[in-house]
Amino acid sequence: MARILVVDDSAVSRKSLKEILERAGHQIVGEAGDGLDALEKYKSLKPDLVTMDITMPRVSGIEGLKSIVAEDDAARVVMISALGQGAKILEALQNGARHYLTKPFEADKVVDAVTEVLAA
Amino acid sequence: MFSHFFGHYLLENKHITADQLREVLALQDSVRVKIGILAIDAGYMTAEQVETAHRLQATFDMRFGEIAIGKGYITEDQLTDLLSRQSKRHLLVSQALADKGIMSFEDIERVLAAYRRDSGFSDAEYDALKENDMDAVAASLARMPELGDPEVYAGYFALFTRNLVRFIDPGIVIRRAEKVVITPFAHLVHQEMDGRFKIFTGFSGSGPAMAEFAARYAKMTMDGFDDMARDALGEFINVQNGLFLSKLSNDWVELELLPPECRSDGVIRAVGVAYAIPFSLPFGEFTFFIGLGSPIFN
Repeated sequence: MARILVVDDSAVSRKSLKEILERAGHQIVGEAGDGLDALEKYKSLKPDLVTMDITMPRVSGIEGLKSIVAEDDAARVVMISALGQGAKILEALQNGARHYLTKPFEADKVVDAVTEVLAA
Repeated sequence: MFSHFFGHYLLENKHITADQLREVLALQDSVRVKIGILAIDAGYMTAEQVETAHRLQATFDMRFGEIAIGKGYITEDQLTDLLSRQSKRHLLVSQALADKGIMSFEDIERVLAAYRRDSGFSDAEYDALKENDMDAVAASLARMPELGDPEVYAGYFALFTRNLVRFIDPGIVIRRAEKVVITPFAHLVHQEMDGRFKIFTGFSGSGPAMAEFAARYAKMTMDGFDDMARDALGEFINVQNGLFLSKLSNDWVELELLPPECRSDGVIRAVGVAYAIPFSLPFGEFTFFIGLGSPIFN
């Protein structure tokens, strides 16, 4: 079981991810709605893994990813975004993301990605 | 697709009631479900393969046939054969109307001819409608010549209609695109894409219609057009635009997505060229918007 922080400006997406991950036996320790909130929650909650959307207000998921990795270079961040362009995926991976899923996401793909990243 | 367009026409012109339309369309739903079963019946695919293809269809923006061919389950010739077996589906609407005693064959023949005339479709468009060629019909109705590359913008709307069918309801009826400058809206969800050029997209509807749309997308019960409904609508258009940008990037066009927004009781004023495409779903009327630049809201 992992302690997971879910970051997405969409409450519907957060709810869906929370249900998928809790069904898989993980604990959702917190939620954030933008990259800035994500960093603050990461520092206070110290989760085992973060799921991170990209298109968010105030601070994007890419900026959130960078700040979390700068804070902790061992951070495990899985990007889950509607953006599926190769350049965006590459940008995320180059900035420390451990995995990248596109929306609409399938429950088993989310679980597989989280399992894979936790095991690495 | 034809059944919904024709059914909507029958309803609007008071040839049938809403209950009768629902009854007739219920038959169409069962036929649609059998596409995969047709493949099993023909011995082309196993039940497990059909289930796999349906599962993949929910994730990727591809047709069932494309997935089945891509996985090596069927050949192009086999798909052509299967498609030919469903090409007469549009006749089932008329058959159901006659079988149910709702309309006589003579009345059906007369109304079909009237629909053909009143629809304003060209021969090619009508044939595409009868063949349930969603992409061809959507692209044809979504002619927006002043926007730019028709493949891009008509393609966007075709993707939008496919996502409506996939996530919301297959019973979509589309009308022709119209150029707009100022349009009022009850409730609007919209998103902008920015980069080499700026595109604005969105759709509007009444509170109950938008709430039902949101409930279907999120697969949740909504307490009217509340914050969760707005959120779900924003997520739908976010997914739609994310898929569109992925396609654009294949042609080396990279745009950024801004966060989606919802607004209520306002007027949208286009800054650049903009079009509106009215569309109906069984539970409400909507208007799709697409344009260049950032619109002004009052």
